[in-house]
Amino acid sequence: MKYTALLALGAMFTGSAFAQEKIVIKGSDTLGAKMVPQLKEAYIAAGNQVDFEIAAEGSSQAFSNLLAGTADIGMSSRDAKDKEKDSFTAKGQKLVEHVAGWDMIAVVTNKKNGVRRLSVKQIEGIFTGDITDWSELGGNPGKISMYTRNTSSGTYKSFQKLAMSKRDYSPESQKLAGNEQIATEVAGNVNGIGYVGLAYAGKDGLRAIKVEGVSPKPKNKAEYPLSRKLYYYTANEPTGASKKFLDWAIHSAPAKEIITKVGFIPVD
Amino acid sequence: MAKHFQRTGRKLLGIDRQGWIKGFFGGNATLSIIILFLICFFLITEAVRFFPQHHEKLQLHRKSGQEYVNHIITEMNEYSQLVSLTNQAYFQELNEKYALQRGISNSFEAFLDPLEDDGEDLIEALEDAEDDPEALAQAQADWRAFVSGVVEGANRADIDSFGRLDDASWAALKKAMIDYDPVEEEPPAYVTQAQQELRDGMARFEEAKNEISSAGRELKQLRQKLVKIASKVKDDAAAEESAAERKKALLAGAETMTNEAEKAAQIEQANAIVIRDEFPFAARTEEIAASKDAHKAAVAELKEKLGIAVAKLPTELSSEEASALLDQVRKAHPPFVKWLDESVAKASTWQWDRKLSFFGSAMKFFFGVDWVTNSSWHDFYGLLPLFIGSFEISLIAIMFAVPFSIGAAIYVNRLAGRWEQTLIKPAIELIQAIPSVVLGFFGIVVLGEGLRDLSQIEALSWVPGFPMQERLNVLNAGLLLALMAVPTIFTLCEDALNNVPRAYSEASLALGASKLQTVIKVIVPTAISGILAAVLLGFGRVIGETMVVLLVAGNKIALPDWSAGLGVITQPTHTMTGIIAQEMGEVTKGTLHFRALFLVGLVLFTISLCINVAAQRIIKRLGHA
Repeated sequence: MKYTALLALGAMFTGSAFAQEKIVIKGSDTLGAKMVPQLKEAYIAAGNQVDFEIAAEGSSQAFSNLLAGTADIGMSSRDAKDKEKDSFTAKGQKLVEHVAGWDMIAVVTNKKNGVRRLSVKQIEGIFTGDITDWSELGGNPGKISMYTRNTSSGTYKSFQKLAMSKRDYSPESQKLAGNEQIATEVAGNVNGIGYVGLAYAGKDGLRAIKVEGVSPKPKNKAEYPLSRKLYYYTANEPTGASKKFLDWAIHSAPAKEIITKVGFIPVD
Repeated sequence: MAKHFQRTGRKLLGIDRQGWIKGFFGGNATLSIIILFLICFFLITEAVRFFPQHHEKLQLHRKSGQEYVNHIITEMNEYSQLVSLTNQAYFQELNEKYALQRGISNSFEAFLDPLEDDGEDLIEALEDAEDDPEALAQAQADWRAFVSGVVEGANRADIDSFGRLDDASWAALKKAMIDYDPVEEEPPAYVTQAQQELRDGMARFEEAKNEISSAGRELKQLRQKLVKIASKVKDDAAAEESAAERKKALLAGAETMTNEAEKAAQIEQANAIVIRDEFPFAARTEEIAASKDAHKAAVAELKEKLGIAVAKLPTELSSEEASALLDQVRKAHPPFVKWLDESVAKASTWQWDRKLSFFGSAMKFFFGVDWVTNSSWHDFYGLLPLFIGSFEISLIAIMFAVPFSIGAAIYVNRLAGRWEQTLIKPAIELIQAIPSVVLGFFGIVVLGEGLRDLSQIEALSWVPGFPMQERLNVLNAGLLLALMAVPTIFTLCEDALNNVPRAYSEASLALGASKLQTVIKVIVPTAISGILAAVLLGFGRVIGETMVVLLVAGNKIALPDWSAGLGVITQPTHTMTGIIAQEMGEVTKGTLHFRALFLVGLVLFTISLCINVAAQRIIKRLGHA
C-alpha cells in the first residue's frame, strides 16, 4: 500500500498543554504528489501550528474517505460523480467543491511548421498513429515525429485521457524523459510534435497549437480542451483548521506561487 | 632480507601469519564468488516468476474479451493507414493544383491569430454594441483601424508560412481582411471564394476520400462499445481477485485497533466483502461474444464501401506524389481485404474459456512485437523490438569500432615509432575515462545535430537513410558506442599482438619479407584468435551499455520499418538496457512489470555470458601454443 503519512513539525510541540490540530488530506496523486505536500511545507513554515497527514492514492479515495469521516479534505483531479454526491446526501451531508487550480497541457510544434490549429480529434489521430503525415493536417508533406513523456509521467496518462479517448499511444512515439527534452527535440525538428507543461510552451522555436481554436493561455483555462480542474472536496462547509488551510492554499499569493512552480495554474 | 621469509613462531588461534594472509586473499575470492552467485540467484528467481504471472494476465486478457476486441483494434489501425495514405494523396494534389487558393485560406487563418488574441477587447466591444448603432459604428471603426494596423504590420513569411501566395493575391488578401466579421466569424468574400473554388475543383476526389474515411464508421463504433465493456470486465475481475487479500488485511488491521467502535466498523467492512470462487466471465462477456455477427457485418460493410470508394479514386492527377500515393492505396487494398477476412476468421475462434498454453504465453514475451506499459487497455510485454534495437546499435558500433581499433593496435604494436607509441596508446585508453553520461550529452548536442545537418546536404542524399529527420537514432547511438568499444578492442588486440613470439617476425624479416608483409601474412594470422576474442568482448561491452543509448537512441519501441532498407539505421529505437533504466523507477516490487524488467535483465546477462564464454573458447581453440 502506498500510504505516506507525513508528520509535521508539530511533533516538537507535544510538550505544550494543548493537542495540536490535525488535517487529514486524501485522494488524487496528481495533487498529492507535489503540490499539496509543498503547500503543506510552506503553510507550516509560515508559522501555522498544524499536523498534516497526506495520502495520495487516487481521486476515488477522496470521496470514500470523506464519507467515512477518515479525511478532512479530499483531493481530486476530476469532479465528483453523481453517485458519489448521492452517497453524501443519503447521510445528510453535503459534498462541497473547492477548485484548487488548473492542469493544462500545451501541444507544441516547430515554429517553421505552418500548422497552427488542430482539433482534439486530429490530436488523437496523431498520437495514436491514425494520422502519419503533416499533409493530412494542412501542412507541407513530411512524416510526423511525435514526442511524448515516458510512462511514469502523470502527464502521459492525463494526456491520454484528455486528448486520446484513452487509446494507446502509437508505437511510433518517442518517449522522452522530460518537458525540456521534448521542447528541444520539437524545436529542432520541423516535423516534430509533442506536449509539454504550459511553462515550457514559450521556448524558442516552438509554437503552441491552438486546440479547437483556443490557445493554451492561463486566461483560456476554462475553454481550452486539454485542461482540467483540480479540486479539493470537503464534507459540508469546511471549518476551523481545514477552512483556514483551504483559504490559504487557494487564494494566498505564496500558495499561488507554489502552484505555478509545480506546473499548474492558480484559480484566479 | 632473508628474515622476511623466515617462519615466525607467533601464532594466532593456531594459525601463523602466512596462514592468515592466505586466508585473507582466499576469503576475498570466495566472497566475490558468493556475491556473484547471490546476484544470479536473485535475478533468476525474480525473472522466472514473470512467466506464471504473465500467463495469468494473458488469460485474463482472453477471459475478459480484450483479446477479441484487440482484433477489431488492429483492424481499425490497419484501415486507418489506408485512410491516411488517401488523405495524403488528396492534400498533395490540392497543393499542386490549388496552391494559391489554399494559401489564401491558410493565410487568412494565420491572420486570425493576432486578430483574435490582441483584438479581444475590440471584439467584445463589437458584440456589446450590437443594439446601439452609434456605439456600433465607433466599435467598427476601431476594429477596422486595428485590422489594418495588424495587416500592414504582418510579416508575410510568418503568415503565408508555406509561401503559396503570389504578390497580387497577398495584396488582395490584405485588403480583404478588413471585411472579416469577427462576431459571426465570417471570412471575407475573397477567402470564401477561394475556398469555394478549391472545393469545387476537388469535389470528385474529396467525395472518394470521404467515402474511404467513413467506410469504417460502423467498425469504429463497435470498437468503442466493446473496448468499454472489456475494460470494465477486466477491471472488475482484477478488483475481485484482490478482494480476498483486502478482506484479510482489513481483519488483521482490526486486530490491532484499540478503539472498539472503529474496530467493529472495520470488521463490518471486511465482512461486507463477498468472495466468489469464480468471476462470472461467461455472463459478463456475453455481449462481446454476441457481437461476433455485428463484427462480421461491420467488416463486410467496410469492405464493400471501401471497394466502391477505391474504384472512385481519380486516376488523372496533376501531382506525381499524389499519383504514387494513390497507387499505393490501390495496391494495398486487395491484400488488406484478404487480411481482414483472415482477421475476422481468427477473431471468431475466440472463446472466453479456451485454454491458453503456457508455452505460447512465454513465447509472447520473447517474440512479442509490442511493449506497452501503463496502458489503460492492456499491458504488452514483447521483447523483440527492444532486442532488435540493442542488436542494431551494437552491430553498428562494432562495424565502426573494429577497423579503427584493430588498425590502431597493429600500427602501435608493429609499425609506430617509440614516441608515437607513448602518445597513441594512452590517448586511446583515455577514451575509457569519459563517463558515458557525458558521451550521451555530447551525442545529443553535438553529434546528433551535426549528423542531421550533414544529412541535409544534397550531394549526400544517396546515403541510405539520408536526409535524416531524427537526430536521436540508431546511427548516432552506434557511433558513440563505437567510441566506447575502441579502447576495449584496442587494448585486447594489442595484447594479442604482443603475445606473438618474437621469433616469428624475426624469421619472416630474415627471409626478406617487408614489414607490412610480415604483419599481414604472419603476425595477424597468428594473433587472430586474440583479435576475434577482442571483438567479441567489445561487443559485450557495447550491448550492456545503458546511459548513452537511453539518451541518444530516441526511445521508440517499435520494430524497424524495413521498407526503408539500410535507412533503418537513421530511425529511432529503444534497447533492452534503456528500457530497464527508464522504467525501473516507476514499478512496484513484485508486479508483472517489475518482473518483466528483471527478465529483460536476465536476457542481457545471458547474452553477455555467452559472449564471454565464446571469447574464452576461441582463445583456447585457435590459440597458439
